[in-house]
Amino acid sequence: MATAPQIVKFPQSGITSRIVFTQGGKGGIGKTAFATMLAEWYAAQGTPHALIDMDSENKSKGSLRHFFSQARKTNVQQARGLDEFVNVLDEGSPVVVADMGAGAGEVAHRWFDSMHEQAKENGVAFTAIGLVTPDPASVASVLAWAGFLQKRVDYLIVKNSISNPSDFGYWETDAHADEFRRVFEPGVISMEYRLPEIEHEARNHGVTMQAVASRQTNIPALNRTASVWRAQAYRRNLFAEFDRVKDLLLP
Amino acid sequence: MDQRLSPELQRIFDNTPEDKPRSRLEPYRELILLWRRQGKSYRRIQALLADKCQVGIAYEPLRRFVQRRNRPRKVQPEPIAVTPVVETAAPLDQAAIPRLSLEERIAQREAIRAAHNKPSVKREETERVFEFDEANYIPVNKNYNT
Repeated sequence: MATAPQIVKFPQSGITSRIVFTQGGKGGIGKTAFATMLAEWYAAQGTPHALIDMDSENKSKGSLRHFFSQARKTNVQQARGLDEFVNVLDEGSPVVVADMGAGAGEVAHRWFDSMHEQAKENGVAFTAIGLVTPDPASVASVLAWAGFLQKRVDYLIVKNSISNPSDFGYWETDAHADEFRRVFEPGVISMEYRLPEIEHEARNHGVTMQAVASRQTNIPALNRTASVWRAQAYRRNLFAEFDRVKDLLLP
Repeated sequence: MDQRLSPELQRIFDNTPEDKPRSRLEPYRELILLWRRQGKSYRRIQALLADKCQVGIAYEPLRRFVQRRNRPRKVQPEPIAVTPVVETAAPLDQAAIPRLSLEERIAQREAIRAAHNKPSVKREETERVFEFDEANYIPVNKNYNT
């Protein structure tokens, strides 16, 4: 039976829901790793949230749904675009985490052009997650999305250390990136380097860091004390970063 | 009546700016007339306008506004049909156009006039605060230049 939408409209600019989505530009920069940790953070503090897996590559391994079976798989290339963003709000979750696949830009931009005002009127705010790595293409991708989204969203930049040490010089010293920071004043957090044996095994088996940290897995490489402690430290450090920018992550 | 104009007259018509509403009550015309039809007094409408719409108006201008717009216009005589009546296969009662009462016509005209006077709602354009040309962008890492 169809249930009535539960979005409560506050005409006095009240935000009732927040959609947090990874900007789907460059591939392989840690979008899903980030979305997974963010979902864990919401779960850890008891914030009701819905998950949408928009990775159109339909990967059996390493997609958001591989980690969380309750994540809803959506094909953003369909005509209705990102309508699933707002459809899941009907289920009553004030927060939606959407993990976009690489190359979802065109769809997202069209959707924002036609639907953003309506969403705003209904108290829905958006946070665009831009992941930057030492790769200059990741910076270009963030800036290109900002050129489309403008001030319709809040921005959270995640400096993802995919190597150790990581040089974020393209993000930190480029003039365009500097202009982006000046105009949008994004939140900026760091995602620390993860050992490949933990990262790859977790992806391979669809195991969350929470499961590793609490020894709820029987994967040998993830069950070692060092892996467990690393997962615990990784969660603690990244959760502290999330706490720092929680205004961008909560309605 | 055929309302089509010659291209030249149409161009003049198109280039003539619309007059501003003569009364600042014009945007509230439908609301005011509905209140009157509900039997609300001018004093009560005056208070409602001030309270709900933040429009201050004296009693007399309000009364004149309502009376002028409620006055039925002269009804034009029905034009005599000059085209021969074409018999149709449809039964007479189905082919006949239902006539509107005078009150319904006035209401129709009011609705059309209100639609004309209603300010156009412009689509909100996204304010562009950041320009980025990805095609011509070469990121710079100053750490590599030192």
